[in-house]
Amino acid sequence: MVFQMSGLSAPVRSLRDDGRGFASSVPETRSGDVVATVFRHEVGLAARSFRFWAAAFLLLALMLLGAVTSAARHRRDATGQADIEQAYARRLAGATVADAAEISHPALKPPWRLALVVDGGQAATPDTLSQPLSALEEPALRRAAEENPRLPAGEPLDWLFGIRIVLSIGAFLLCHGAVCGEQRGGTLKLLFSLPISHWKILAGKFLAAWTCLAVPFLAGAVVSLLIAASLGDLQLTGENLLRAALGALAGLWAAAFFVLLALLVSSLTRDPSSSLGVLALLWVAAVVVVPALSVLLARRLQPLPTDAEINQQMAAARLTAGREFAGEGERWRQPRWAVVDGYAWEKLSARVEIRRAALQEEIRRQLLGGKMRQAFLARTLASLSPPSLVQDIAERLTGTGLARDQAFLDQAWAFRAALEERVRRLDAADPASPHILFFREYMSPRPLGPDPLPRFAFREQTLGEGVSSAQLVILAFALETLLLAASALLAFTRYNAG
Amino acid sequence: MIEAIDLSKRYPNGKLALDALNLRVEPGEIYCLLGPKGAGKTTVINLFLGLTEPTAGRALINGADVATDPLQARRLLAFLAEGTIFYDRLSVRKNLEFFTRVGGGPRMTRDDYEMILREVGLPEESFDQKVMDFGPGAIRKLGLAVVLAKDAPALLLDEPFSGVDPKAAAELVEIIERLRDRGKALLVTLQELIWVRQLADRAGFLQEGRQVLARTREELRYEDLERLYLDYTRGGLIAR
Repeated sequence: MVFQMSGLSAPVRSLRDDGRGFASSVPETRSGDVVATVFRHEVGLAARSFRFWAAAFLLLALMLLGAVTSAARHRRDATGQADIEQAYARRLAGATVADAAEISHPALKPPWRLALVVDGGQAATPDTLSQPLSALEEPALRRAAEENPRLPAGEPLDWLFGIRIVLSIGAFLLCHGAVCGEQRGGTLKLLFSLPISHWKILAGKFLAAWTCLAVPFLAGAVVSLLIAASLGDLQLTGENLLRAALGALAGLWAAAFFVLLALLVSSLTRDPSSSLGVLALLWVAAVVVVPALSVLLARRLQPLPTDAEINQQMAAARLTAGREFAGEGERWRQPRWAVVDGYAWEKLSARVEIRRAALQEEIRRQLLGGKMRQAFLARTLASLSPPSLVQDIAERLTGTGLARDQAFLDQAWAFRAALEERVRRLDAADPASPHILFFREYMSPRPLGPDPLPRFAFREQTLGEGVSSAQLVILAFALETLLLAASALLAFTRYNAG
Repeated sequence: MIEAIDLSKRYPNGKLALDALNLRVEPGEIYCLLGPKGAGKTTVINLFLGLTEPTAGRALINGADVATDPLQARRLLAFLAEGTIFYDRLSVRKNLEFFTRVGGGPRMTRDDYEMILREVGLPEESFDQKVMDFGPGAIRKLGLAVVLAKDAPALLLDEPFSGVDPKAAAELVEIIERLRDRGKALLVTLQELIWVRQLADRAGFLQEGRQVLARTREELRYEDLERLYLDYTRGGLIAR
């Protein structure tokens, strides 16, 4: 057998011909070199594995499918709202000031244009609040494009779905054996026998796994944006791109978190199947159990009145209004008769109805407020689960989710006040009107005129407001990530490879 | 030089795995550490690799204390592990390149790696084959290629002949002897006795964590090694 070193290249031979100078023969490897070598090695291993390609394909396919479905959802909502707008415009054409009292003035929450990034439940919550000014009519809160409520509501295929479900599963599949698998195969002992700090091995493994998830995720993000833009439902403006970039950033951060979690569990177990079992349990707890429990707990801690209780409260409001006016009211006459005594009965009846409507409106607002508080509480409780926390961050940053619903209700109520003021001024300009607002028969019959009524325009949250509202949850997730990274490092460096 | 000074290890469960081991392997010397399973051989290896901390005593590689200066000690140490210890989906060449690069070995060309693989007796056509297609003998040769590429002065070989067929074992012995001739200090753990007489410059017997016997090459030549080993593993004799 040949055992001749003379064929080695000059730099290597010079080391080997160094007599007995072995002590200096193995130079210290630079940190970057080790991390880069481990990184390349791990990426190479992943590229040879079915798990990587399966996760990458699933992620890409889901994000592309999400782009198409969100475009369809966007178009359906936009069409539904356009129908309402057109019907409203037709109703206003030729209407009088008095008509404005009974017309339902719609406030529309526009479909979220970046629904492919994060839907935030926007497809499930009402987007139309129709408010007549008359106390005799009730407002209606509903969805513009009504769905069949008997159909099961599926989770929207947005980027957050990919992040919470696919990225987490992908990270667990890729990394569950990153440490214990090497221990089982024996390579970890050989790695630990090399003159390198253990953190460099972990850093290389972490970066490789993260890259393996980040690349298909970012590719899916770019392609889905292009699909949405080409379908005409998304303008690739600077602001939209920035919001999308924030959503992608949340995804990359989540991927890093899931990889760290998988590395930690792999460093705490002795074989890959145990590691995968633990990670599967954690996944079910984080993605299924905690959100479900948070909803149950929110219902318990922030209960809502039942329909029967609401009906009782409504009836009580009517009685209260009646009592306050000593049973007066509900005495309406034709204007030509009422004018005789200066509309005395009608003015009183209007005050009774307005009082009743105000009391009942307060009950409705209390109910809506309670629903919002319940939803916020459920979201806060669910934030114990990192995937839900990421969802919260992404929704806050992009200006969707519960905050958008709350903003819509606030703006819609403010719009009604502005509308009332406008109609009040139009009515006041007609000296012939009895000025009993807002009761159609006793208001100005003049046309609304060329100066149209104000139209509702939803003001989206600005990027600055989004970043500001997300600060606390970002801080919480940053702390969780740091803690996880420190734990993974500690577990890995103390791993018994012997 | 590989040196153990009163090296002891007691595990948290109270088991004394190694009891005041003293040994010194000089450059150009092969020290065979013999003993049955559970005698403490793996503990010795783990202590020299810094994978576990000694409860007493010191493990030194060329004067570098493994416990206090593990990086320097590992820089001076190359290790051949027992069993299949490579990435089985990677080729022989890729495995060698990875462990050499990550271990801070000198920058080598493709020819350098191939030269080393040839030196350990691996056939040319196997260089790009996946390790999963290899038998234990070829894998052990790859392990020795990693050891060669690192070119460290102290070598730890853990059961190098375990599961290896006689022909491959003979080739491994030849490589190990050449490493000794190049001035390496080799600590070799063995369960089988068949290669001890040929390999060992000195040999020590471990039994339940204690070194119960030490022999030089000369002494080994005239000793009924098999009988001694059996007697010790049965636990019937005390240290001489």
